[in-house]
Amino acid sequence: MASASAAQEDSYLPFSQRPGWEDLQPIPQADAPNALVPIAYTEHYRDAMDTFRALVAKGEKSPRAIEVTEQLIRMNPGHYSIWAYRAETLLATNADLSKELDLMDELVKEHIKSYQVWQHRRTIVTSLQSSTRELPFTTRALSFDSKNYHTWAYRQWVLCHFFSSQTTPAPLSERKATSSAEEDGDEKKRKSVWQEELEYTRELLEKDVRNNSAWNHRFFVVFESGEGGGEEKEVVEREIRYTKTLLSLAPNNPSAWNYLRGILSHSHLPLSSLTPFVTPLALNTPASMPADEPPVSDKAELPAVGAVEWLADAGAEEAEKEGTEGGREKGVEAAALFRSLIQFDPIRTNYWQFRADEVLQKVGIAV
Amino acid sequence: MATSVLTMPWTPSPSDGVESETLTTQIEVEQTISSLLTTHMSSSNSTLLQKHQHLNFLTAILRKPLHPGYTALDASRPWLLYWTLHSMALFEGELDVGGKTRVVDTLRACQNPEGGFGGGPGQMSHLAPRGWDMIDRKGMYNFLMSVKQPDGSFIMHKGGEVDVRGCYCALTIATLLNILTPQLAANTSTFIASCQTYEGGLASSSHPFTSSSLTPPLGEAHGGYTFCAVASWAMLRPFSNEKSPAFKKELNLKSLMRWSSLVQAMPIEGGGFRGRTNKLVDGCYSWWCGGLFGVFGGLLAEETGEEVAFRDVFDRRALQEYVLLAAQNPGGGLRDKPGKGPDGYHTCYNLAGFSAAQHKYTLPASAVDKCREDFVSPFSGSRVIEVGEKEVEMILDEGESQESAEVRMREVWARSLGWTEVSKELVGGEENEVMATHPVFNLTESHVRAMMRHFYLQE
Repeated sequence: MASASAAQEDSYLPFSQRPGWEDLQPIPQADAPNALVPIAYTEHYRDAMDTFRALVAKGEKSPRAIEVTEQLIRMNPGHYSIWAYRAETLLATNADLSKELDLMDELVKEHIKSYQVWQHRRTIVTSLQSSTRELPFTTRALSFDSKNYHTWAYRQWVLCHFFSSQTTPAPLSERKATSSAEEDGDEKKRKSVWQEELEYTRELLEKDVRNNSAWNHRFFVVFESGEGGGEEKEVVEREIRYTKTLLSLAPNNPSAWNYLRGILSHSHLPLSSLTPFVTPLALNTPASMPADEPPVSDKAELPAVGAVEWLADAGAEEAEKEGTEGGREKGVEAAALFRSLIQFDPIRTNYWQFRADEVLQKVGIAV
Repeated sequence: MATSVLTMPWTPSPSDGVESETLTTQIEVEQTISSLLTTHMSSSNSTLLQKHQHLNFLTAILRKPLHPGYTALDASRPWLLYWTLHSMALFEGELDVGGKTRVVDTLRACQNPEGGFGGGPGQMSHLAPRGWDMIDRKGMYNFLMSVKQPDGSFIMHKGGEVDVRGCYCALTIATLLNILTPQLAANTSTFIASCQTYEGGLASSSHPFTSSSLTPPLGEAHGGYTFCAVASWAMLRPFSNEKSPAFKKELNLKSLMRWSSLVQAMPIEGGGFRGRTNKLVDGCYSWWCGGLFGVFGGLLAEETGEEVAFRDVFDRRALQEYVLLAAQNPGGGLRDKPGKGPDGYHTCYNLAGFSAAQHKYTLPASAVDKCREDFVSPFSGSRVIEVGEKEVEMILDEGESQESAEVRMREVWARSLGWTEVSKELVGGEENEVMATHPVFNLTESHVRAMMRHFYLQE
């Protein structure tokens, strides 16, 4: 491999010697002569950069600018100036943007962690005003990296930008003439997209119940997008039930506990409203799980830290509400639960101790 | 001192009988790290910080031409400089005069005529690079205003992405250069609060709908973004009395503290930090997450008005042990985790987190008051002030009076320099001590002080 690439370097033909490029005078990088953190560029990269600078100096937005920027981003996908010039050039030359998406489909495989690959895609898709490829595309990307941050943020942007009823419709003059039947169809399709998102998170969690990105996306879909019915009582109950079911299978899963806390906080429900479900998981008494709750897996390793913390926080919440008058007993109980966590989770000794002292202070007990 | 991770029980992550990819990779890391910890237990000097080797590693990045593989960082050369120089500064490694000149020359070649710095010579201005005396402050102010968005966020560069890194870079630059005006700060705290997720940490960004008050966060709670957001929040405190829109959201410090505490990794993982719930421990979060607690300390001291330092809610000792035992690469440089190679980025943020774990900071009201009192108005009747042979222009918003500008400059000054070290905890003895790093700016305190004296005209 090494010798093959060395041979390629030897036979490298600079742009200025290629037909159709002779008119460009390459511009070398104006680095300080004694610059620090210098990089030993390959000849290809250096030459392409020198050629790129020559194009920018002329302000040339042309097919050959598209060609040279493609070579550069393949060598350095983090080069935001190149991406920006490429985007401007594509738009200025009315280039075929769906071909650009083909290229992005390819590049993302190798450069999924590059901010620029995603930002460029956004620019192109915004200009195309077409979302047809975007959800299947991110699904593919997530199939090989199910927690990639950029991919998730991008998918959520696509959903907000193209599928939200909160998005301001285009001005009348720019809208295509549509019949009301078509509009109904569009609305139906829009709603089904959100249904499918919910189903997608279910599939991902079935594969990996600890995938926090999938939990986070579910919260986005149900409670934050304005499209998931998160304000409706039935939906809240459905989500609580769903999370409890997954917790009774794998109670040592902080992602699910956080999601459950998120639901309650969003719906202004007290933590204590789930005490009947949480208690058996916290006290290692699975047999006492009420009959109307999902049964605890016999492989569950109890007590689960997330459950003990829940009970402690629920107690603290109630004690603080009742204050120094009626809350003392509950406060002492909550503090004891917090302290009991030190044994199972010693790295957070300071935090559990802090929470214990905090609740005692709130009910008027000196610590 | 607290218990060492070496003597805490090494309990593996419970499987609950449910296998999944997350669990498999987690268990692999627990095995790798715990077997390394076991070998450390039988070695006498395993908790020594290999300063000399790390300095050699850093010097090589700085001066030797970097392998072509570094081409991917060709648009991040100022960052390479920062990671290297800040790491050296934490070791009290001063460059000689020639080295300093080379730093300035390297960065000068990255400055653009219209203001701002690019990631390399001739590259378009980007929010992330930093520099000093050759800085065109007016140009920088114009550049920052040009990337500011109506919702309070910042795009990283013209045509670039919005996220909280942009807020952090813009506010840090503006604070240090004395160009943080009310217009530059407007609405940014609202944007930041909108990035907080149900988990308590913050995500990269949020989506501003034009027709509703919904602003869902994009992405999940993440250590890097959380630090940028919370440090930005601290820098915006001097402007917290600004008239704010009715939908203004507050940052929920309680859920933020819970999330931050919960991402500290278990003893079997060496006690470092992970960046997200159910993800793997990584040395760079030693700073992004470990560094959060210093900023909290200040925010909570302010909220409660208490003089006493806010008590520790994370395990300082365990964090130092992760850096020493798991993140140090035997040949020099620091890394993500055992099995990964060292690099400038991980060296910098491991060391910065190590420093934050050694030096405990808070922002006591009395120290802030003292800084306020000591501040001398930079104005002398005019907004252009002669300093030696050059003229320094005070940057004011349109219609902003010198009186109100002086008030906010004093506030920014006092809340930046009022941070005070209150205690120290050193694992492995005094020879392991590194310099204290500023909880918000992540520069050594002496650099922050020198730079702010310069730009706020305080002698």
